[in-house]
Amino acid sequence: MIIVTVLLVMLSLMLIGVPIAFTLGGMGLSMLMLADFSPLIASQALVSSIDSFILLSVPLFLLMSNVLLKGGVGTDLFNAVQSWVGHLPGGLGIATILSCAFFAAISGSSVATAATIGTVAIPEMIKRGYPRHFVFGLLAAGGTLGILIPPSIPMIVYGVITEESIVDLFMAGIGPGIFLVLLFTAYSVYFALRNQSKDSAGIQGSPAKSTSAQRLATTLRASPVFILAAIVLGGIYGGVFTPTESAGVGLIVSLLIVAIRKSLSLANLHKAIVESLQTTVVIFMIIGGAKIFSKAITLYRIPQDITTLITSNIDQVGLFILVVCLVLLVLGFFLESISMLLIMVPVLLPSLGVLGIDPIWFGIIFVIMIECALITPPVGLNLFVIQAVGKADITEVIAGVYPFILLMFGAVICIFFIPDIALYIPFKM
Amino acid sequence: MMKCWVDRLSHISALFGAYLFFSIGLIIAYEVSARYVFNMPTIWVEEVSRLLQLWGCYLSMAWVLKKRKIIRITILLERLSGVWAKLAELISITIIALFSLVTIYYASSITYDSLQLNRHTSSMLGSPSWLFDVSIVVGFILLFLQCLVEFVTVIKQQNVEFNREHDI
Repeated sequence: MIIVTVLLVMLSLMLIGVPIAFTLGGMGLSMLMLADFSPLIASQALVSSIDSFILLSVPLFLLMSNVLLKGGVGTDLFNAVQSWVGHLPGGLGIATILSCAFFAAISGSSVATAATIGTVAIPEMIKRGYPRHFVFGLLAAGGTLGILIPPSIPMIVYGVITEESIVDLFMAGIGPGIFLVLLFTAYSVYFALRNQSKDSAGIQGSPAKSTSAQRLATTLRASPVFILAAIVLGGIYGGVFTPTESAGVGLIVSLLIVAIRKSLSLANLHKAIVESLQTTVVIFMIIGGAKIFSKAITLYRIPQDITTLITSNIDQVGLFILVVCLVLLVLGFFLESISMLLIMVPVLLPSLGVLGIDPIWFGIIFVIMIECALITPPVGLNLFVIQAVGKADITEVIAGVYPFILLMFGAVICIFFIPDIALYIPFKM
Repeated sequence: MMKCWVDRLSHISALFGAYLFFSIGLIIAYEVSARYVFNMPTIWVEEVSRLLQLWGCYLSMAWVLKKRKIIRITILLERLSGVWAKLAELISITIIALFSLVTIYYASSITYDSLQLNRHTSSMLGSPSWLFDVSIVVGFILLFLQCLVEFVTVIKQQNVEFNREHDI
């Protein structure tokens, strides 16, 4: 009864437009007061939720992404990748997805990935006759790689909630990231071959093959991006830095890159700093609210009750994952990524132990479902990013994302049956 | 007049918060170089970074509210108009204001206790705990003032508009 009441009140408050952070925080505080628990718990939670060295990597990775976005490094990256694969069938699609993957390796944000690569790739692909809905769908989906390929902000938040190793989570994201890149690439090639046409209405073949000199020149120009990715990921994996330190070093290196390229004015640097702050504060407010809510529901024993409910009705891991994925799919229609993570994970966490589910593996499945939420209407964030970057109609973007959502479901199914896609790199390499 | 001052205060404190986050990046990079280049790891970087993060976050909440960048579900709101839209907005602002008031009260009490009991963090640096606690008080006072201003603004508005907002 309490669970149903809490759910109903929470949904009602959210639907009338109360910000998610204050819905969670306000409900948590009210629940504490109603049950005669000290409201001091709420104030302490507001300090302890943000007083975290691991969470520091969130603003720093966001800053790094925004500096690179405003510094226009996307053009160099796209040109370099295109010089290697652009001539292949569906080459521009392959170049777009690979550019998204490389940018994802230096950015924890799907928005930054979609916006950075979208700015360069959308005009190029449309010029080559690719259907607009396909281009927008490809970029919206490609952008979501930003949160699967490490570094990843949702993985940092997931690691903080579950107290799992952020490094293990990052490493577990690499395999599924590459797997999704392969799926998206294969679909791009298939689409291009099916729609290739010699008249002006269809895709007009691939650009001419670049010469070795052109490849060398474009790769050298984009090399700082590859070096930055090596520093950020190599530093974490090699145990040289913690993820937070890696983000700090990455920020300095990205500032050096844009300074050497002379591609970032002080005004744009200021803009990057302010925009990163805005996103950070929005995320941290939800984290603070969710911490209060999570304290309150724990004191009411709600997660334990839900675990009992789940484990007494569901005893198969597959069924549990299916139910979770369906719930996340529905939530994704109206909740954004971090809120989904902060509302669902504390409630589901006790069930993972009872059902013997690896939290790292579950985290990767969760993040892919969040990726789906980023491109499902009506609130899929990447849809609006691509709409803005591509000056498109939202219906065109929505029409383009469906095949990619199906590919992501396919990836979840494969990772379910072959957990090593995620777990091989962190635990068996 | 009050609106002008509160808006300006929120804006300045958010700008300050933004550069606090930027400075965290610089001092963390300094820590890495101090450890690997000078072989002299610091004892202050981690704690100071966390302190700056708290201040940066809570100082900026009021500005984020003013800019209407806080994440919320707008599916229903976008279909509302006139008095219903206004009512929904006023309910939201009232809830934020009430939450802020309660938080200010209890966070002040924690800060007062920290001062009275001379509490310090349990790290090697051992900073006074009230430096951390008071960030909540200051942040939520700013947020409460901004709520008052927004409440009056919404009442005076003819049409309330809702925006979809972006995060990561």
